[in-house]
Amino acid sequence: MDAKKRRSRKILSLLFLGLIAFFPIAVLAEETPASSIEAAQAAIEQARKAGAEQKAGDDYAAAKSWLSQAEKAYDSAKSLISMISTPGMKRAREEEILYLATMARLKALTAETRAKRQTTEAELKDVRKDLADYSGAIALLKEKLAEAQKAREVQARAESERRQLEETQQKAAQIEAQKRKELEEVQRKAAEFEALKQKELQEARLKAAKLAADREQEAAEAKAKEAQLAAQRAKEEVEMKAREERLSTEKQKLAVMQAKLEALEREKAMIAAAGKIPKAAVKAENGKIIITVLAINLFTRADELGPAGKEILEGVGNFLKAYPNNKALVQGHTDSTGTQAANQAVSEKRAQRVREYLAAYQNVSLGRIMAEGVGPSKPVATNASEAGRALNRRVEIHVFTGE
Amino acid sequence: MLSRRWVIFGAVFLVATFAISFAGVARADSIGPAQEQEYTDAKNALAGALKAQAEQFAPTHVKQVNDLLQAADNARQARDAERFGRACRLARTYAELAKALAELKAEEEKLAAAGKALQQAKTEIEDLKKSQ
Repeated sequence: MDAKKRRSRKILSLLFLGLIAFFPIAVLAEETPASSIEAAQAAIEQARKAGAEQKAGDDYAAAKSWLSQAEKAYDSAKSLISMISTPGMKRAREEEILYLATMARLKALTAETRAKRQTTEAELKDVRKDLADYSGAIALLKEKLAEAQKAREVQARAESERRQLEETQQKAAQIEAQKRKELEEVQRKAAEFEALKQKELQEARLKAAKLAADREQEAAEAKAKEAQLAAQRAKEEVEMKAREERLSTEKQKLAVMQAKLEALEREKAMIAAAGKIPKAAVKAENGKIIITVLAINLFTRADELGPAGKEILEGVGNFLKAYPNNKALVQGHTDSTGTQAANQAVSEKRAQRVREYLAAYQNVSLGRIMAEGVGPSKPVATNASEAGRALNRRVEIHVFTGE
Repeated sequence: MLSRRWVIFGAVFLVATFAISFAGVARADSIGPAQEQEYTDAKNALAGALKAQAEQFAPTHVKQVNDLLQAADNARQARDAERFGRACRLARTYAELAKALAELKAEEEKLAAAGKALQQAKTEIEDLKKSQ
């Protein structure tokens, strides 16, 4: 029993190994070498038709190579030696042919598939290009449609605006007609008004002309009157001028007379004032008051001022101070006894002493008083007598009445 | 006796035939680095196909690749280098085909979508032209 089981297991193991070993053949057993070669040839032909020769050259060449090998193997299998070979060898040969043919078929199929893929890729490229073109065209069309739509809208708007414009124009025409009518009415009224105005203007012009004529006449008359008046006025002016000149002359004369009168009054007053000076004779002469003081009353024998002389000079000083604006000349005189030169010196000395005393003791400015000696040149009495000589020996103080 | 001799001869002939056949079919060569590289290439090709969404667009071929890779694994266990190599190469080729098909389908879908968009664009253009 155990021996039977062991034998059965051995047989099963052998069968299993055989099955495993012969599996590829079992897989490919459905085909015969001839049919597989035919199938490979058909596949290669199909691949060629698909353009595999150009598009999948390597695979196509490999397929042909495999087919060539398969055909070679098939031919050698039909040889006489193969005919007498064992079934195992035959199976191995068939298996090799099937393998080679299958490889050829597969390579042909691959070549065909790759060729088709290339064709498909090219077609896809074309289709995509077409699609891109169509997409561009669609975009363009859409753009055009949008533009057309816009244009339609614009046209519709334009149409609407045109209608509105027409309505507006109609209204405007109506208004225009109304205005024209009103304008004509206004113009008519204006013309009437203008005519009336012209008429009134004409009348006004006539009135104005008349008025102007009247005015001209009045003006001429006024002008004549004015000329007459002007002449009269000129005459009056000349007369007035002459009168004024006369008046001016009279005024000047009056002023001179008044000045003279004033000077006389002044002189009179000065004479009156000078008259108060003790032991002095006063007289007016040629615009000056001459105060004469005998030398005997002024000087001592030594020709010095004595007390009587100082009293007299005090009176003279008061007089000069009363008339501070009047200048004075102190003039010394001698008689003719002695030499001219000595007399001259004496007269100058006496005049100078009086001047200096007035300045020193009576506060009379030296600038107001001048002094000169004239010696015996201007006697007032005869020098033949003592009385006459006494009169000639004198000092005269000339006070100029004019300021 | 003769029949016994023919039986022995027959048995020897069968054993020899089987031995020769088996030797021809299951050559137990060792799998080297070159074959392993082919296996790796097949796996990478499958990964590439899956990345290209081959499961969605070429599920039959993906299944075929997986079956072939399983067969390669079995051949590795059986230490059959030739079958291993064939299974790997077939798996890789199927994976490449699956990837190519997936890429083609994807492109076709893109093309279909683009065509649809193009058609829509054409329709839209017509509509736009009408509305003009």
